[in-house]
Amino acid sequence: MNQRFINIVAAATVLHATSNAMAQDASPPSESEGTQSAAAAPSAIPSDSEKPPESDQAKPPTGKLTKPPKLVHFESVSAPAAQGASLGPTSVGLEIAIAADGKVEAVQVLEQAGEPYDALAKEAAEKFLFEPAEIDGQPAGVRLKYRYVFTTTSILSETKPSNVVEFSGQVRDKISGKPLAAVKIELDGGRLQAVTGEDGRFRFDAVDIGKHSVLLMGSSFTPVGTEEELEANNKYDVVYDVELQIEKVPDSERADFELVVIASKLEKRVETVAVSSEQATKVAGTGGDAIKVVENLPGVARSSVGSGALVVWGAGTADTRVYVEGVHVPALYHEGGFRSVVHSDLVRTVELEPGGYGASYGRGLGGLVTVGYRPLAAEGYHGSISVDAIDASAAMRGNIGEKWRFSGAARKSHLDRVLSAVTSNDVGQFVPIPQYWDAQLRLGYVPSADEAIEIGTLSSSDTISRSFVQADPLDTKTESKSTGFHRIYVNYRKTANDGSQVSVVPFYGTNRLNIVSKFGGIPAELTNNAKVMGLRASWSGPLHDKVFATVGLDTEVEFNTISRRGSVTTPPREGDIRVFGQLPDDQVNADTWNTVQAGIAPYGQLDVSLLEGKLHVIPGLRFEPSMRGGSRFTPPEGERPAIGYRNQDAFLEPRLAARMTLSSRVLVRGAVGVYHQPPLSEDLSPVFGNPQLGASKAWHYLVGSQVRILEGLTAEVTGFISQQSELVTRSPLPSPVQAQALIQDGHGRAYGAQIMLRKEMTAHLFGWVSYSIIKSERTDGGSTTYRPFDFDQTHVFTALASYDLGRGFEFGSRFRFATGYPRTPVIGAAYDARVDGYQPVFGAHNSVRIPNFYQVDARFAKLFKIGKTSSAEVYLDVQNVTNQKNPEELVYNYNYSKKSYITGLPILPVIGGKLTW
Amino acid sequence: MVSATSNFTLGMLGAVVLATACRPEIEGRPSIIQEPRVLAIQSFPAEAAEDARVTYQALYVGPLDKPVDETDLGWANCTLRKPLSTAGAINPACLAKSGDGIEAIGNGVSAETAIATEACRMFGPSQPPAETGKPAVRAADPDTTGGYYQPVTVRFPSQGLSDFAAGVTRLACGIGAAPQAEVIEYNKSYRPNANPEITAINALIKTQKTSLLNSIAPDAMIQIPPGKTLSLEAVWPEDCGACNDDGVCDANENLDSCPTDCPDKVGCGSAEQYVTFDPASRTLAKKSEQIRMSWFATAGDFEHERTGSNSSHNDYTSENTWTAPDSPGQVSFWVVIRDDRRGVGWKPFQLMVGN
Repeated sequence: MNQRFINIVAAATVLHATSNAMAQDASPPSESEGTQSAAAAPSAIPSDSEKPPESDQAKPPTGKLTKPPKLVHFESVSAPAAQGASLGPTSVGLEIAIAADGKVEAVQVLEQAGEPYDALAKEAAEKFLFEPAEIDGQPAGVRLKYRYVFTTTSILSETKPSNVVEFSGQVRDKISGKPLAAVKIELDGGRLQAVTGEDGRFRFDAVDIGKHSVLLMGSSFTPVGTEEELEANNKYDVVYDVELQIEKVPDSERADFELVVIASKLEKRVETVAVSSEQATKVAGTGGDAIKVVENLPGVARSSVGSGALVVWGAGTADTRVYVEGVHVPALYHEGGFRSVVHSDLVRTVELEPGGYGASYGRGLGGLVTVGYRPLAAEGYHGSISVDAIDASAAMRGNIGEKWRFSGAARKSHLDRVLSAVTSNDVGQFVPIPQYWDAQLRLGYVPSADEAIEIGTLSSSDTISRSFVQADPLDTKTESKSTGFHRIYVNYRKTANDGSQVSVVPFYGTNRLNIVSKFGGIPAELTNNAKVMGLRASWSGPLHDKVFATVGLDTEVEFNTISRRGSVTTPPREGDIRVFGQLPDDQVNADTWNTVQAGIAPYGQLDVSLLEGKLHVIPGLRFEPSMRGGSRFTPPEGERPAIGYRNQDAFLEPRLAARMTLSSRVLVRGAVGVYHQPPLSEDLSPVFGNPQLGASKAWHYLVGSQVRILEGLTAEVTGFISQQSELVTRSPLPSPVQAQALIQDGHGRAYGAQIMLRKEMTAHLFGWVSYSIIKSERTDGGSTTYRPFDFDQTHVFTALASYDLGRGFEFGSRFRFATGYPRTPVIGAAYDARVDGYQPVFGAHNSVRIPNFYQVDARFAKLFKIGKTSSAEVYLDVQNVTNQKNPEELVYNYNYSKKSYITGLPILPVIGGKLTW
Repeated sequence: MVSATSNFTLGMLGAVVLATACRPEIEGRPSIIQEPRVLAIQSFPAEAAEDARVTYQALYVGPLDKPVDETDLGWANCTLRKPLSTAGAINPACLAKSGDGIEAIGNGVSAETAIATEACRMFGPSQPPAETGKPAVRAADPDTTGGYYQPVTVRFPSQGLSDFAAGVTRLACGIGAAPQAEVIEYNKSYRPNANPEITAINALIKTQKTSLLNSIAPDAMIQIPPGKTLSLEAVWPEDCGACNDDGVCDANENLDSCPTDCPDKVGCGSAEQYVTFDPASRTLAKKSEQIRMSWFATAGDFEHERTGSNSSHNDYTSENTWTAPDSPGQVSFWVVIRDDRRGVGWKPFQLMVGN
């Protein structure tokens, strides 16, 4: 064969299209003149699933098509270039008759492209193999229209000139990691083109060295572009992870786009710590709740038993903000931490950013948790029912016509009833048994493929109560806590042809908190009823081929009606020196007050691509004027009427992030930013707090790296520093200034590093190892000396894995180690003759620690297929397999002369089942 | 485990048996006197105004083989207000031999002192003076009975961690920051606290209710078989009652309605009724004292360390049981009565364990 260069004025043009078929069985690039190779365009199918005409070979099916045919083997062909042939794609329209076993029975050319393409396409299509279509659930023969696309290949020379290089790669779904077929790759505005095969791979045999623009276009995502700098004598094999628009994904593939838990937000070529919902529910110890897998990510402290607190990078439990579909909610987990507040079946993504997040969010000194919903189903009705000893839940989703879709879920606990039935004593005397329920409802309208509007509700409720009756009524303890929230929201999204997106999410809701406890005659009551409303609106899109912009508005208003009765130290706050079982302070007071807090924050952020896309610089700015008002500025006194107040603030919050691709395997990134957090409305009481409190402030600094060690094995390392100021602390004075029981001169700092080594899902195994070393400290009012933060956990190590044993059996295991929380030792005691008790005398603040925590959990599951689309799963989730007696709290005897530890949960088996259709 | 008798089993479906944190059994036996201890501190009067003289008395006891030396006790006033974030009776800085805020007032089982001239500012509802040019300072918060207290400490030799005991005198400071009408009514109706008293301690011996208060002298000691369980009953006076010219001013009487009983507003040793200012409703509320009994002995076992009463007027007794030790010998008892306005009283008795 002759070789020749094909030169086109102004550029060397080499088109080389590959497909999965070519990669598997293609001959090496032919050294023929103008060789053209077929490229797969399987996404061009199937355009028609109508009833095929009768033929001798295929009996016409009746009934409804329940499953389209799926191409499993594509046959590629090569053809010599015709003289004068266009260098653009050439296609032949075919009608293919597919038998019930998936084999091709007949091929007819409907749209000719001329010879030799027509014959070659027909010949190739006759060798296709399909997964058969189904009608009424049964395999059946069908006919479909198919477009066989040839792209032009010009093989220039067996010996490539030194000014061209091979450029190949793979396009994958960013979330699931699955390869994307039929994605068109255009270099330099279409001068060179290729289409990915079934394995998501593409190849350009010879591309000029230098800078090239790359545009990726697929039917399931908005076109995305980037730049590549190709250097001589190098071979390039890139990976593009693109975020799919789920609405555009065929329904048969939707099941793959499930929950993702992302620990840090990364972009092209950077592996996110993403866990599919399928994997997340298999993690031992989560009880099948996918969102609980967040607790296993690096940087997240282990919460003590019975607590659902989220402590991220040493930040306070109230410092991390939680959003569900752009709606701010007060908690991620129910009381006790047994379950999250949103049913896993509805959730697609859970993103945890421990710090350094961008300008689109604020009002928190700690991290950010954003929960994203799954897309509403376009076809069919699906649902699930699950039950275990803790709770029962149900979920379903479906569509009404083409444009209306819905989904909903509900869950209710029954652990208290289970325990009443199987125990002989009132366990509730000693342990808070939570009673909870939650419900979510969504109704969506999809006017077009690029637009969607949804109205939804979120509701959650928790109640815990217990009592401990003693012979002396003044020793009797009772406690009850009731919390809950409701939200109603609208979510509007529109995507334009240029890839820009508009999102508007207004919401309205209520929060409820009611705590009533009594230790003998000492009451402690706190009630907070709040109305909240907010609006998040944003536009994001390309300003330039190197600049991507996001601008938006984040507004939130909260009205609180609060009443409190009891001592200043009940409930306690971080930094209070106390010991388990200590008598509460008997000096009491009461107050009722109203507050309003409002913030309106416009923000902007740019993503600037430099160094041919290797470096991205992301500056952002958030400006937040805020207002804070209350009904009472001073404590009640005589007949003096209440005097209200209004304060205004305005904060400028610059944020800056950057990431740089050092090589195909290594990426580095960093971020710095300023953050503010308004005071809690419960701290604005003139009796128990301080109405003059303002916002606290933090600086975040982080730097990290991600390394792809092997295919499917990645390591991520991050170091961070967080510095906080103007934290709210107690006044240290025995006689504080009036209305200043709390002051704002506390400081905090947290610094450390985390590493995660992750094995991605292969046929049978997935898992990861994470380790954090973090130091978190605070100063108290009137002091400049740092002491350990109450939730400081120096070392947290987690190793987990899950293995598919085959035949529906699965096994998973998790090992956790965590440093114990700091505590203040008791070094003496004085007899309190008033109450016949003892008043402890404390040593240095938080100078000792509860012993370390070790625990192994295991999970066994068996999946039963029921028909083609349903399944039932039975699982046994065993926490603390080795029955380790982990200390959870320091406890003393009556006169503090002896100490010991309250240990946590013993071995805890949970059996459950889930039916899915 | 938390409860030795809790029975956690798996149900039919392997239901989870959850939720038990295990609390170790380290509580000990606070009712049994095994070393010298202060069991109570009584202030007389139980409630006093600024500059008034008060006398403190301590109930200082020890096991029979370690008799206490009452001269070991050292008393001190504490003039430091407790920080807001500290629970307990006293500023921890006063739990020392000497230092700022510590004023020694004597040694022995009793001591006498005066209530501080500025006690209502230091510990009460009156606002402490603010520094020039600085905002007003917060007054102290009352307890659940509306009371404010001046603290006192007594130091005694101890082999354990506790060599201080803290007591208090309730301050007659009135109510602070209340509406004028409530202040006026309060001043008419409030009756100062009096220390409660035990009028009888009975035991059911051979089906007969037997008084134990006379069982003190060696020749009057009641004998109990080893291992025997006794039902004990402590009794305090009935409530003082309505205007009945009995010389006692109770909560149903005031200066207008019962001037014969109320010129000096003298209380009685019962579970008294009194008025208090409720900070939540900002009105006066009538309350009845709750009584607590603490039981102590040098040997044996009590069923409860403390027993109490509810706030009903009709309950003037508190019951307990005590099991004699297996070894014979003399056993000393002390029963301490407290009301929730920090009044204190006590009664001792003895029993002989033997056949």
